[in-house]
Amino acid sequence: MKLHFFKIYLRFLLKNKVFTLINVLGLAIGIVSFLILIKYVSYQTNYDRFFVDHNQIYRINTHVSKNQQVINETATSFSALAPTLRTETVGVEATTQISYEKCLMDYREKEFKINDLNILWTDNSFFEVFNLNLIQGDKEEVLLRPFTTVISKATSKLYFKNENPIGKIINLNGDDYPLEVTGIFEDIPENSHIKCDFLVSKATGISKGWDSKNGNWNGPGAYNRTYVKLKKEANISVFQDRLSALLKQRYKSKNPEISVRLSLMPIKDIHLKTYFKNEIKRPIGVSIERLYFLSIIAIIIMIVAWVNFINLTIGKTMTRTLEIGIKKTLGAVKSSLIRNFLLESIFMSVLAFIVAVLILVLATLFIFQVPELSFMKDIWTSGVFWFQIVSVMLLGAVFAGVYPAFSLSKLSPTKALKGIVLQQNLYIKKSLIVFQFIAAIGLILGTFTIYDQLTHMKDKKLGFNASNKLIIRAPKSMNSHKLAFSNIHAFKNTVLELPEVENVSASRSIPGQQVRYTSPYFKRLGQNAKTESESDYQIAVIDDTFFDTYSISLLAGKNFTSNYENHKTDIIINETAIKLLGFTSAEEAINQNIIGPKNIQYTIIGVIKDYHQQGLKAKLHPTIYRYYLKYNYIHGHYSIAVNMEATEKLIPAVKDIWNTIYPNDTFEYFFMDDYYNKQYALENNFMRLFFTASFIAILICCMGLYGLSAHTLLQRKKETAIRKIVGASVKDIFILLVKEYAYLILIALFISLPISYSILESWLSNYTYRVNVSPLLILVSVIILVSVVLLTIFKNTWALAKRNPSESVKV
Amino acid sequence: MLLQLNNIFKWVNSGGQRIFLLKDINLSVQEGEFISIMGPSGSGKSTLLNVIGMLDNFDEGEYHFLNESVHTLKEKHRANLYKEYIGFVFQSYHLLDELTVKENLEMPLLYKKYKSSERKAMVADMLDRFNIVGKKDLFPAQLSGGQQQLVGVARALIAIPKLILADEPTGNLNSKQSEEIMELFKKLNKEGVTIIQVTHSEKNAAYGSRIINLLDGRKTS
Repeated sequence: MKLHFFKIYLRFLLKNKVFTLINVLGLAIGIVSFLILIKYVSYQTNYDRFFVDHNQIYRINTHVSKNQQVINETATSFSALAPTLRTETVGVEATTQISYEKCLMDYREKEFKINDLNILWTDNSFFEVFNLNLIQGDKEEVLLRPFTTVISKATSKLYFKNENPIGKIINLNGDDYPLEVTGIFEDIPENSHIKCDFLVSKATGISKGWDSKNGNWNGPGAYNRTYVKLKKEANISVFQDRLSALLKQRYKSKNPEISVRLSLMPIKDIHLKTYFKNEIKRPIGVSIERLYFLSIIAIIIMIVAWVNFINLTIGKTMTRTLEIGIKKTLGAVKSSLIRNFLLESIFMSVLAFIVAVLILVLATLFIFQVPELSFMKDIWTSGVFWFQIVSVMLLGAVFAGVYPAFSLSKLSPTKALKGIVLQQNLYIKKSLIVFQFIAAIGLILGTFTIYDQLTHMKDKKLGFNASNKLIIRAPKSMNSHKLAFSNIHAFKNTVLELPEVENVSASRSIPGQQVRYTSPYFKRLGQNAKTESESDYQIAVIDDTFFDTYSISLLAGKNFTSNYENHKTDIIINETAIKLLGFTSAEEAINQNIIGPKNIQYTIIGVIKDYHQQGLKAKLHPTIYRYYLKYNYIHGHYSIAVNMEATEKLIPAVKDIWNTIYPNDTFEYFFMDDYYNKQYALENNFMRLFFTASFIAILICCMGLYGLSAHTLLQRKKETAIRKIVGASVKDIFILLVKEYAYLILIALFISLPISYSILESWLSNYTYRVNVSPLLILVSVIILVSVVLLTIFKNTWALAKRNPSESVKV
Repeated sequence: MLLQLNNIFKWVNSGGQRIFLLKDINLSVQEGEFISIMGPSGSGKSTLLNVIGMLDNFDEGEYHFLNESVHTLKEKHRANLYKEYIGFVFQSYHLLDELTVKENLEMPLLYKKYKSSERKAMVADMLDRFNIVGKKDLFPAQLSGGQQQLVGVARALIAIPKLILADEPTGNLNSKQSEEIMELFKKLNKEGVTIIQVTHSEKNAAYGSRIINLLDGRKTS
């Protein structure tokens, strides 16, 4: 474009500041929102694809059935599976085993420790399956000796700065596990399910006696995960058959009702498709379905932004006929005009692009630091990202440029010189607006409905009291420590002396957590278990104060007493378990005996009312509560019930007590109500996203509408002037003009409501405790849209209706 | 001979009837002539001017401009022809609001293959000749009507056309400004530029060497 033409355009843009601003800003906001969403989707769908040969790597899952009914599906498998597979040659290139734990890692030399780091227990076969480079150390030698570890590059930086970490000692969970660093591996990206900080040798566990080299065929357990890398040419179904045959040969079920099946899952599918228990990294808030949702929203926003850009650009360009006429009489040919229009619209998109990049720069500096948005960090070096942003920009430019370019350039100069404002193709314009309305209604209704569902879940009676509960995580260094048990009593008793504390409880899991231990092997003494509702029983480990601390009510029988020695085989169960075991009432169950795993006989001493351990997204599970016993106790949390609102005021006092009893452990606390509501993080995020998306879409729609109503003013001023001259009042004209939009809204409603209704209903059907799409909310959404539309068009429309006819009729 | 129109017809169809805008127009124009087209509203003056300027098509007849047969040319060639030889002056000036006087003058040159230095020289020359050097950086909105039309005429002349077509060039001006523009036309004509103007005013018509009267699309004299 010659500088001259560019100047004309630039001055035109400056003269029409509002137009330029809303056009550029609308498109920029659209581009940014679109790209963030798409980037998020691709981050999620690319999970574990970082490993070059991810197509060959599978994890073996275990499915346990009782009487042909599946009762347990887990990501773990027999500990003997990997050692056995290693000797099999059919199609297997490599096999490895992984156990996972979160640990306190203490570099005592520099007194530097971090809690909850991700630890994988494995051996050097890990590197045969997962093709990770070692920056230091030898793949053949690392992770073979007991008490050795290989650390990630990031961890090395964190702990050792510029020191050479090789040979240094890091203590895992206290005194018993001093680990020697023998290598550094390159960082695994965030979007991998085996993202970890430390690899610790399996030999460590073997030397401590809680792990074994060859494993056993007892059951899948909760710890041991098996991964295989098949040979490139291997046939997966052949391998699957071989696996089943192997299992048949080795695994002998102790209970004829129980059967086990193994399945293979490609690692790239784990993140999005897993429904298994005991995942290393439980995907929170993602599912393929939701990613579809997000992609659709992303596309809707982008289209709305484009539509807006196109509508505005076309509308505004149509007012430039005189300029075209002049250019034509001065000798401009069609091709040069077309080129001009296209370049102008590209220029406009480039402006939007620059604004979008500016927004992204600011966002990188201030917003993308949030962990939830960390997936945006690498955009500046991502080729795909830049390809996307440029193509989005150019596509918009071409869409917006082509129509005016071709319709205006073919205009005859004599017509153009009359300076008429061209009528656009009304069909196109109107369907574009209708599309925007459809999107707006859907997004508004979506926001409301998700909000409705969320409040429904938050407000529902949970069956326990979540407020004013201070939770402290158990001391890591006390795992299998000889003082573990007496320290719990010491801590509980000291904390209880604080006047604000009403109750203290130590338990394995707390409300809001999945109870990790489950077993199908429970039935009433002398009876077969009911077959139609087979299920795993959750086994929760608590103490005598747990129910009081959480105000969970006892329906019948009694609670545990402080003397745990009396409760070795006593259990308390919940209502759901009562029904499953075939009792007709809570009273009936008291003092009855049931048979558990390993044929141990238990006595039911109490029945509690059901409460929502896992939030309202999950069903109620049959649960068996046991008093913790010395030998099998793994401590999870302290729960402290406080009798005042400002629970956080108590923290310093509790921390002092903690530091005297647990000098080697970090004090980490949180509040039950926050924690419990985090289960709804997905819904919260989704709602925020929906809200933001609808807000952006509506904002862009409004911008477009405003520009358009200004354009209508130009197109219809003659018509309205004549109507007024023949007697129409201001009101008549106003209604006439508004009616046009009313029709469009009506059409949009007819299309949008059924679609959004059915989409939202199907989304809600995923919830056990759900609301329905409420007619009231539909009405409110419609009212919101109508008022926003009216407000937007009011200024221009009213101005047109009020206009003095003599100003217009000359034209 | 600069141009010749033979039996030109132009019509529109309206309600099954053919309405003639131009009917059997024959006209030949020699180089150096100054012609005024007159007639009442709707008689086809502007249409004739647009046909001569090749801005508008006609339905029947032949049009020869220099040695080209315009009626056989495609749009692109016609555009090349008129941008080479014809300059236009309009009643409402039709300057581009977004450009300064200087930039407006430069516009026609951009559609031809002039080098930047040549363009600058030609614009400077024209500003000088019309005595508007002091106004070169002003925008049209900052000028009076007479001054705008002066720029309009300068723009029409800058590419050194053989023919100037002016559609009511003084229609929006007061009598003094009108007189100045007409004097300018007279001077240009003496310098050898052929001019065809559409006008309502007998006085303006008198500046020309020949008057063509139109009535209902027909030439009456």
